[in-house]
Amino acid sequence: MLGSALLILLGLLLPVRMESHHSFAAEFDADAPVLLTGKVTKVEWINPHAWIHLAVQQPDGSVADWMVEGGTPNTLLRAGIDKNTLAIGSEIVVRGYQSKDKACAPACKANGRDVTFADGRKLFMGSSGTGAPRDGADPRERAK
Amino acid sequence: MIRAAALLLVLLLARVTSAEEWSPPRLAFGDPDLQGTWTNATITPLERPDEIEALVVPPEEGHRIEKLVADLYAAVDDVPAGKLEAGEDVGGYNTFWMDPGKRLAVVRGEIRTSIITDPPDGELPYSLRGRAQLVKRFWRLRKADDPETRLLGERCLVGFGSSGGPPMLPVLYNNNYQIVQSPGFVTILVEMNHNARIIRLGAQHRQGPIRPWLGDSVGRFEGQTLVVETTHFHPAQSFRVSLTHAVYMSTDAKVVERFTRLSAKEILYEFSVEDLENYRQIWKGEMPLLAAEGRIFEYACHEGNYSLTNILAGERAKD
Amino acid sequence: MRRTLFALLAVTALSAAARAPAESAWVAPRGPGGKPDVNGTWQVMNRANDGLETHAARAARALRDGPHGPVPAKEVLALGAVGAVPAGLGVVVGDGIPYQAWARKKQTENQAHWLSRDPEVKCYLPGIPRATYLPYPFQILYNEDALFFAYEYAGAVRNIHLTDPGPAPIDSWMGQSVGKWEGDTLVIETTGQHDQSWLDRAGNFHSEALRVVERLTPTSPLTMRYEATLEDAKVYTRPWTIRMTLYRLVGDDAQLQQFNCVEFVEELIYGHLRKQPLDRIESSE
Repeated sequence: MLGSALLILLGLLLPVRMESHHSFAAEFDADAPVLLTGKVTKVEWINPHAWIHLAVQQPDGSVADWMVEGGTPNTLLRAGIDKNTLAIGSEIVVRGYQSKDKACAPACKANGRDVTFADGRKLFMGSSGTGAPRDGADPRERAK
Repeated sequence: MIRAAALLLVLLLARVTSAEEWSPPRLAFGDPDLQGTWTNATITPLERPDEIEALVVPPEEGHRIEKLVADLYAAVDDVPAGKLEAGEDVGGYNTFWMDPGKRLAVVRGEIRTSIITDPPDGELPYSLRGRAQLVKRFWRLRKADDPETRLLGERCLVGFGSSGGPPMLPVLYNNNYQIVQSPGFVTILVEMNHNARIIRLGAQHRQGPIRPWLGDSVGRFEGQTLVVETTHFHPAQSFRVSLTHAVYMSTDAKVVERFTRLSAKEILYEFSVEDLENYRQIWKGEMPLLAAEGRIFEYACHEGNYSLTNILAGERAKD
Repeated sequence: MRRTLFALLAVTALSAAARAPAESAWVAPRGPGGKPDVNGTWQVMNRANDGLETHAARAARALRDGPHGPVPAKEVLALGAVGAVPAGLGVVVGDGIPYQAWARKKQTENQAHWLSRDPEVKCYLPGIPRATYLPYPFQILYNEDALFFAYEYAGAVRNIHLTDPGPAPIDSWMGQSVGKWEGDTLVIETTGQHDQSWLDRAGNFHSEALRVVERLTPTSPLTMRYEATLEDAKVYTRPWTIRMTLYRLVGDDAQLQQFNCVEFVEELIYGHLRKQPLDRIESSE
């Protein structure tokens, strides 16, 4: 939904362009949606994409390791986040799509299309607004 | 006598503090001071959207567009409960990772609907050849046979699109540039992909077989304005694609950038691209560089590039 | 006789006194902000990147057992003498790197698995202090408000804060550096590096607790003394220091080329994922 509306607004010509930037369509399988609930085991605050690792309890009692792809951490760092912000052991819910490569090495992979805390709060932001951090000292913003 | 002196003083002070008279401070070695951390994040795209005719829109229209974009971004995070639908676009991630800017670019007091100012319709004036090259490169991108066929940003060679340029264009995030000046040099640190453009002042272009990433840049000051000329681009840098622009440029294109500091918090960034192989004319653009809050953080890309592995492995899984 | 000897000694002492101040009297020309002008392009001439501790020449960086001693591993055999390692004097002040016992074992193991473990092989960012003594130049660009190091190797950069921004929010490859002048010495403190980088090609390493204090002092128009003290209580038994000379490049040499080696390691890292992979030697590591 975002895709087509934004494309129209920005006057882009080819739908493939949106996918090309993220390349997520190349990495992830649109026919394999996942809904994961688990505890954070590690956060890789790296570029080009951060990865949040979580331990997902399986119905049979075993634990599956998943890693979920996010965006650049730099945006969050500018907003004041640091390596301790998302505590190990936090319970999160991930909606996304599994990678096309289903090998699960070193862990199963998915894109973090939407990641929230277990209670529904969005990660790293308040409950309202677009959530995008400040983009600069725009005098018009200060005047608002 | 005293009253005259007081009046003179008032007039002098008025002159000094008048906005029209503002000029950037000079560094100890004489160069105008352009230093700082700057951002070109803006929702104004490179090319004007089809629905919008004019380069300049009045404030009410500007607010309407900004609200529309803000609502679209809010919708990205408004994911219905439960599992996502199979067969849909896999999408990306939450907007808290993104930082595309929230405002349209304001240049010379005008709210702009495209970065491109010339041609007046705000569209890249591709020649037939240029457009054919663009389409050919997009076509090649549908597959992932080899790492060399993927985007430079995916390969972590330079940043996405024309983030480092030149011309330096905004993308979805990390639209930050730090300018450091020293005698004989202006250095621009482009956050993505930790690229330092070391611009040699008063120098000649280097010729010969070595073609650097981000081209070979030489600069000079014309009054307060830094003028940078870049050519001799790396052969792989022709195809620059991001969410907000898609540019195909010859490696022998000549890019001229002009940086003029307008205030403590703003630099006017103007550029022109001369590439008569791929375009019908020289095209030009303008946008502000605004003082950024926060600093540049390390963008070590290659070291953590699971993505390229996943792209290639994903395609192999399909094969 | 005694008077002649005394006169001889006096003359010798006087002429020595006249000579001595000439060296210590050199004052670096001033640059921006009235500090020594360290703007320029610099490079080491030593072999520190091959190993910070003294090392003899040897056949290759990756070795395997041969019938009469180590021989090059099969992956590097074809390089012949080009792949051999020259001798290098150590740059460590004192007896060598004061590792904790477990850490010395790990360093030896690292060195035995150099090909698969050295981040330089994959064109990863080098970290501090290794970036200084790689066999590639770097450029210092500074004025009184900003201090910036640009390295030819992998286009690494270091933006050095002149005001302390507080602890680094996350760890990174090049860490977070804060610089200040102490007299004519530029002192740079770096923290916030993670544990993935090595200190050289000999497997010397550190943890994320590493704190590096570098001291750069111009010693002549064309040289600078470089010292770096490394402190890491998880790995070493005490802080230790390396010391070397940085040489100023002149003329046409005084410019960085680009060594964007990321492109050059794509076959190594991603080659097996090509649609049609090329032939390769199976790794012995």
